[in-house]
Amino acid sequence: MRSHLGSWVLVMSGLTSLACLPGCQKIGSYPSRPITIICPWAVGGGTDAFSRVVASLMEEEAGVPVSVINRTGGGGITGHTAGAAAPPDGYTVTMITIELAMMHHRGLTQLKPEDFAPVMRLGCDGAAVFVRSDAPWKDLSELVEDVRENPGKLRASGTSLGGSWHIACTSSLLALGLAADAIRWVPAEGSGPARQELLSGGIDVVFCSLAEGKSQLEAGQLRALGVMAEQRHERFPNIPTFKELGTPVIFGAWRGIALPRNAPPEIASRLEEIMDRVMSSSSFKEFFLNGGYAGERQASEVFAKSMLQDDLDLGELIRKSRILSGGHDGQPGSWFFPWILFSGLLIVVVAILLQGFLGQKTAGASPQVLAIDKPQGAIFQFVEILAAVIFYLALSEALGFLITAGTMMFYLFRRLKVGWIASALAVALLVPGTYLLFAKLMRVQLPTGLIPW
Amino acid sequence: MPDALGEAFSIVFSPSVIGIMLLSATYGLFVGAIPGLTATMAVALIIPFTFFMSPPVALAAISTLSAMAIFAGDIPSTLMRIPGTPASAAYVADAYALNQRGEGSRVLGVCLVSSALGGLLGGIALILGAPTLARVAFAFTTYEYFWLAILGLSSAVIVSQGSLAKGCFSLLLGLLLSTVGLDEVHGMARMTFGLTDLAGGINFIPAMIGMFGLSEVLRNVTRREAVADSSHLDSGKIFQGTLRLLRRRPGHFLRSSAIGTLIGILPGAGADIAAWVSFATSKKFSKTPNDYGKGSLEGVSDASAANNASLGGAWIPALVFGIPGDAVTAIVLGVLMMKGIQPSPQIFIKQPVLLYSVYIVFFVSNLLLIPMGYLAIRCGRIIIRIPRGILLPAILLFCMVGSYAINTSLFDIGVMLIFGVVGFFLERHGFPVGPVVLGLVLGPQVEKNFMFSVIKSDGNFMEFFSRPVAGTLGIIVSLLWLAPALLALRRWSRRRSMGLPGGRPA
Repeated sequence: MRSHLGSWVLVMSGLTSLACLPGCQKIGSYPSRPITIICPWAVGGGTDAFSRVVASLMEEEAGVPVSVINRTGGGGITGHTAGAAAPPDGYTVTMITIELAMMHHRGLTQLKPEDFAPVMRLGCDGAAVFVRSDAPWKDLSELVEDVRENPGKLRASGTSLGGSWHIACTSSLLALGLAADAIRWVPAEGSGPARQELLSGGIDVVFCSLAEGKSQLEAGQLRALGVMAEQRHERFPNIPTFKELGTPVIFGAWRGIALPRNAPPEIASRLEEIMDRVMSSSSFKEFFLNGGYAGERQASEVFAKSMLQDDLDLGELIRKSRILSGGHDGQPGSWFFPWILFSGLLIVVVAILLQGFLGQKTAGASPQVLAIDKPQGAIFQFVEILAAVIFYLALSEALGFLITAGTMMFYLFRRLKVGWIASALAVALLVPGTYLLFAKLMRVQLPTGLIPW
Repeated sequence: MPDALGEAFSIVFSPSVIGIMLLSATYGLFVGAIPGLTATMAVALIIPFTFFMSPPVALAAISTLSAMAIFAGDIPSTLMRIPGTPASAAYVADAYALNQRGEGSRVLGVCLVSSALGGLLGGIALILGAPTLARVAFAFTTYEYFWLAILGLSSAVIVSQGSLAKGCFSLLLGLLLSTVGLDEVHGMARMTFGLTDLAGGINFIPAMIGMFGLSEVLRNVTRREAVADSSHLDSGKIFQGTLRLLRRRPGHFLRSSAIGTLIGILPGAGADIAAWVSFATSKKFSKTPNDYGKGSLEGVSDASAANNASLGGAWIPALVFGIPGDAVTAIVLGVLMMKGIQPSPQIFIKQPVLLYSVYIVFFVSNLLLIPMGYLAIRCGRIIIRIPRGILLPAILLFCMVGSYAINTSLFDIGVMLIFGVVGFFLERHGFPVGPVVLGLVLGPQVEKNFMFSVIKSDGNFMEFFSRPVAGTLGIIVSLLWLAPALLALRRWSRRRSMGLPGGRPA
């Protein structure tokens, strides 16, 4: 028995010694292992496409694999939060977007621009105003005139309520001296569905970037009346800026690369060099222009300043226009739908209880009951499985995947009456096998802990 | 269009995709052949891998795997009288009885060929049916989608086994859980308890892995050991007389496949119900109804064609409306949404390559089923004897790493754990798990379509019935919900008049 245990220990220690220690790596050799870009937005969207192009070019410039992971959800909160909380070693970078400077003003998160060390702004897409090509307004001033005469008549969309393009709409209305709700905002999942709704006549105006509306613009289905940028876009020279039309509103959704706040300056500047080369490459320039993207790149210091300025401006805007902070008169709020479900659930629970009280056995009674011959053992094993998962949750960060999972699996095998040798063999095959499969093949960063394999 | 077809062919027939299909086929046969592990669990555990594949490849892996697993479920049915997956439960008695008479190889041969042909017919139904439906669905607005989703969810509750109230409970629980996180309409946080991890909502993948994977492990450790040693199989020729049987009754075969496909289309009803219904229909029209349940090869053939045919049917509403026809396509929907593809009539124009790949895969995987299934039958006894003590912890490990892999987040392992335990207890107390998952997947869509409709209509509920299709769907949904109540009332009043105590609605 003892020798079997010994063989298991031998296997584990063998694995330990096989692993190399990256702790001794110097900052000077950065980057020496794979870099992950966290993209807070979904696969298939604009920011995702952007991140993937940047990743492939970074891979060439930095000489290490660069992968993109999409941490989506919560209107960007999830990904930004994960990026800010990542270890500041330069191996996890975040593609931050303008939402970072908006969300905390709406009380959605504690996360602020200050939680990041910005490395480089990669562009800034000005908000454009799209209408159907057969729309009655020839130009922006006619549209503005219509809104001024009939406030609340027109319906616009582009994002959810309070999303970046809604802010673009509101800020242009305020700059024109109109009420923030002179155009009714219909929420949409994104600019794609919004433009679809615009084409089918459900709404009148869409606010989104030229890059997003490019294909419908070129197909002649939509017209862009103006763009809230400093200057006309190189690729769409016929679309005037708001500034030219007498309303100096600049609003763009920017994106950039950032590290967590306390990243070492050496690493940040090294990354900035790499990004600089990426952005100067001809393939990036081609992608940027053909995609209809816009905006200057900004080096870290300028980017930091402009981000803080945006944060102040957007904060003021959100406070000024009550719409963006959530309160919306006469419309069912956020709790409307859950509340309906909750009432339904209560009714059903009452119905089930009543059925029980009336003494009638339900037809769906479980066919599977805990084992009759050894109920205690069964319950014990049930608890042990749960405990094993909790054990892994508690210790894997500290001890690493191999040790924690190995211990857990060995214990469970033994408890399920697998022999010593078989258990040790199964652990030795399964645990490193799983590690190889996930960490090497699929590039999932499993907890490394003590054995940073 | 031909370009897209060509591209789809070159995707599916590239060596790496064929390799992935062979791997997932092996995995599917393996899991399907092990009693107590379902096809749905097999799919839930493969999601983390599909996450790293391109959409057509991911769908190829999933559809191959589910076809294989549903067939492989017949192996332990025949050998041990224990269905490998719930889809084989309808004819387990017949298959086992035939094996006792020394006809096991023949039974499995019939199962295999019926499954493959049933699967092919289901695939053909998908290819013909989905684009037709998509053309109709093009004119749909949020009102129609709202009613369709409600119709799908309602029928899922009504066909799920057990009491209606419990089905409703599961569904509402799933829908309510789907509202956790920032809502898409207003961007406000709901029920997040200040946890940033919950801001994006409950991650659907770990929830699925918990409900179908971990709860299965828990069920297995709390169940008595299966009696494995009675298994035996004659060494007869597997395909002897199979074709003759099928050629003798092509009409029956078409009927069973049609039943399977239709039940597959129905949201919430999958392969298991398809097999039961087809078996019952087969018995009703048979010349030898007395054999059914005691070893009827016809019954086995009809039911096993139906359960594989249902797989193709289930993809139809999933691809056209984004309303899954069964638990596997519910997972498929989740995978597609993670990849930024929202199934809708639009994908028939925008993603022709993806669709053609799915079509081609349905043919390839069902043809692949014959040789792979043959091997599985030959290795059946070995697979069944793999010790549970090794298998269950291994599944647990994959549940954990798989949940973690999607977002590299330990929090998701916690989600998996909680859903596993909840799923285990729900099932033990007769609450179906399927509707919880459907609710969780469809919840955001239902809410969005509902809220956008409410905002558009300015709170006037009659607008929901204002368009012809929306109105019709709305009335169907209302009838669907009123029908059980009316039936119960009638039965109650009849019993009342006969002086009997009131009965419970069935």
